[in-house]
Amino acid sequence: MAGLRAGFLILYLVGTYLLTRYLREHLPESDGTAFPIGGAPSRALLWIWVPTLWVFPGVLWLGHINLSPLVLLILVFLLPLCCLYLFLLASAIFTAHSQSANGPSLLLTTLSVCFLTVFVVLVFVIRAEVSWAKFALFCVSSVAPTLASIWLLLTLAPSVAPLPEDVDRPLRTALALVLGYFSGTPKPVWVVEDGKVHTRVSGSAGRGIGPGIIVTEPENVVVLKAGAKVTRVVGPGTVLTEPGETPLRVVDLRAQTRSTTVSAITRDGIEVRVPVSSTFRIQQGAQDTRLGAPWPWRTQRDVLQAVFAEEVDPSGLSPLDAHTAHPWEDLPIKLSAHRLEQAISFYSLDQLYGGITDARAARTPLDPQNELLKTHRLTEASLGLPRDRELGDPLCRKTVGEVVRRSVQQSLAPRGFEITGCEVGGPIEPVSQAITEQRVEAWKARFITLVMDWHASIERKRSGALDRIRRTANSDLIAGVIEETSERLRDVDAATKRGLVAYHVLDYLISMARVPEVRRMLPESALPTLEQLFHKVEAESSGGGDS
Amino acid sequence: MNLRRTVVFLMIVVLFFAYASALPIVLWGDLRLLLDPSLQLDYLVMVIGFVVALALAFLHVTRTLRQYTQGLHDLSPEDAETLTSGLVFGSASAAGGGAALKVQGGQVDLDGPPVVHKVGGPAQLLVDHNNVVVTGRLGMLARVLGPGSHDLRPFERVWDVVDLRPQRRTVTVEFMTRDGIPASCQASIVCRIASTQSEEYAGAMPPFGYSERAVLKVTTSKAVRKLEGNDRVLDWVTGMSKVTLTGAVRDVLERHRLDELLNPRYWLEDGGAPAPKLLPELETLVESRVRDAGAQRGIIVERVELGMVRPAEEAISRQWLEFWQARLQRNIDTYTLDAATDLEQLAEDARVEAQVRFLNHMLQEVQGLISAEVEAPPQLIVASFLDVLHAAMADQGPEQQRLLLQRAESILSAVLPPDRATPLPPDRITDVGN
Repeated sequence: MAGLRAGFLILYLVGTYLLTRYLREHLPESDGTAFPIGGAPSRALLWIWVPTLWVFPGVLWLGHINLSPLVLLILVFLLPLCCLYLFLLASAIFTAHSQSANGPSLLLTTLSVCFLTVFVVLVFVIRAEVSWAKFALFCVSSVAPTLASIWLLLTLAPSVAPLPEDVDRPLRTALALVLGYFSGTPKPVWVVEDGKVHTRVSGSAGRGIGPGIIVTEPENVVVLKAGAKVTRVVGPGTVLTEPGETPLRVVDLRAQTRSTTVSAITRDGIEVRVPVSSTFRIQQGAQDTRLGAPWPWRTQRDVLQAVFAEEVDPSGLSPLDAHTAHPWEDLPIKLSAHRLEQAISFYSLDQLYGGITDARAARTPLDPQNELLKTHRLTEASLGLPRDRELGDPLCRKTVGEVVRRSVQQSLAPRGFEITGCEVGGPIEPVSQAITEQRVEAWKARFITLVMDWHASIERKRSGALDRIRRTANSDLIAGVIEETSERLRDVDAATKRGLVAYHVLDYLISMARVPEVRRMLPESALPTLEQLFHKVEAESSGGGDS
Repeated sequence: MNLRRTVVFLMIVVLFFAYASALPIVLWGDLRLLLDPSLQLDYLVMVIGFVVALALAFLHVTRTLRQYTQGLHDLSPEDAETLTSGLVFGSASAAGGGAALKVQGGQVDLDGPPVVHKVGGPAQLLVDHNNVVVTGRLGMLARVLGPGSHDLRPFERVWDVVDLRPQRRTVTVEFMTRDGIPASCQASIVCRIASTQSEEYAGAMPPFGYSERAVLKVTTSKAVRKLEGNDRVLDWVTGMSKVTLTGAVRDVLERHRLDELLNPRYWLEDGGAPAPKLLPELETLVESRVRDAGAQRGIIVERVELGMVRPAEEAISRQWLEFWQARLQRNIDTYTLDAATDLEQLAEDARVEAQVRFLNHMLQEVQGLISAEVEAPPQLIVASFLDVLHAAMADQGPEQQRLLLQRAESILSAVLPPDRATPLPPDRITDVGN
């Protein structure tokens, strides 16, 4: 018999090993189909406890207890099963209000199993006159592993279930989650990641077993609905859903910023492109973000108002998307763009580039900035805003941005929005490039004229200087000729002087013409002509001398 | 070994001992019978069977919980096993083979255990010396963890990482000047997370500390730009550079006309033109604004660097600017460095030119006298010379002419008859020549 028992033991281990291998790759599917016997509780029992092969520890008692093998097998099967069904019934997880369909079948199955067990014990065990001590130990060995597994499940389930710390009855809730998961018809589990809802455990929100869970990111809340009715706004954190509740929308509580470029026309008829950005969030209230506390938000009403402010605008969309609402995050920037377009129409282009540098001076009617202040006031009044004492920034676009922000805030505050900023961020550019070019040309012209004037004056100075230099050179030349000729005639008598003047003049001129720089610029015949003349004069002088 | 594991282990041990001690008494009534080898084997099989059943009950429960975890968090079986083990029996240190996630260089190690990325602890978190981590747990911000090794609690995961190193970002700011001319300017910012007040007061030194409040402020004040995409959220440095710095630069520069930012007149003229705003002056102004904005968010702005203001390429072409610069440079060079050389050359040229002109005039005058057949009396040559001399003196001022005539007195006295030797006024010299 010992060998047989050892064989059972080995079979037990091998069976467990193979089952565990199989289950490692297979997970229960949440298909919502009814289990043929006993419904959802039996399915959970099948996935959780059947793989424990609970009959084997009792089978080892074969031969040790005065029971036929068949009765022993029935008992080792029924005793743990009875414990399991009683546990499932006692946990009330399958008989809760939303699980009324499972209640009767679980009750019936439990009673049947218990009755059968008692019947077998009464009929076969008592009749066989089995020692009660032996029978008790047999029962212990049969049900102890099962009871231990129930105890372990109760002890360990809360640690794996992602439950908030303040949840009521954490043990029961965790157990409900685990049993619900294995029942095939759990309530869904949703996780918010990157602002989107992901279904981690699909199931039935209405008739599923156990609670549903939504785990949000720290910066999100989720709008829930049950059927066609919006029920509540939950989060941030881990939230247990009520029967039938499903997530409708995830709402990001962080600051949102959106930007666009508005094409507007100034009061002087110039079309300009104006970049505008709007920063906003769901009304936060007076609280700040703190560790260990949910991300602050004011009321459910704010969130719902913002979400249901979404507009359906089929323009620019395909027929397929025509009925899709634009996200609520687009609303502030759309409204800002519209208000900005209106505001820009009060200003001239020059005013848009200007600003009020001296607020006090701007209040006096004669000051040039007064006109801009008046325009600001007019814009403010036209957008239906109360008068702001501090109106007027050194940059006009800042004032316009603030006026638009106030206007958008006024419109969207009842919708749950908190508009924290509206800024005309980038450069305001005329659509027509010609206007910009004109301004640039005007700017350039001032400098081009200046550079030209400057060059002209330099040229004048240069011409004057050149003229002076030429005259000096001329004067030096004449002086040189005269000086040289006078020098040569100094020791000659008056009668001879008259004859020698021409001779010396020509001699001097020839020596001048022989200078290479001068020679290059003279006609080729110049030097021979002078030399020929010189020879004539020389001959004549010598002839005259002789005479 | 944590308390839960100890209790489970103790329970199984107690149950085992109770069963093992009760079994021989119940089965055989006498413990001495256990000395029989056949009964010993029987006993061992029974006891082992019971122990195996208890152990397998435990294994199956953990298997059940592992399957639940695997389905709930959409994990692989291995990751689910690691996570379940950690959740059930507490965190395991990295040395003990547990999951450890590293945070370095301002980001989570992407090669780290995916289960810690996705679900969170229990796990060990190793934060490098220049990083701070903000954790979230089950939808709430949990802790701010500085450099070092930390045990992540169940489901506690890294929500955000802040790099403590000074961060530099450079942006190109496009703006319109007050006179409506598009221009741009490059600006850089160097900033970091604020340390605690005492550290900042004492002059924070590297490696920088951090203020928990500043870290929380920085990580929770990010703005969402769009619904999709990796860059849907503005991180704190990008927020400082692309929003705060850009805004401050634009606000400061747009208050000025282009002349005030880029004024050639000031450099061209000696005086009269208004001085342009100097770059350091503008930089200080921008820096002050950015510092104030950063302080409100828990960010220390180390410095701001402002580049040159450049009119937009399409508005004022680079060629135009280069032409203008080249021209200015050429003029400066001409009138400063080469001025002396230039004048000397001009004087030399003028001297040669005067000589050539004089000789040409002279040649024209004596051209008729050079034929071999005609006599060329010296008086005629002298008369021609005087004529050229007169022409050359014509463009001189009266004073200069008088001076030259005085010098020419000896020649005139030689040429003229004795009765006309008295010097004549300049306007009469033509008559003399003739």
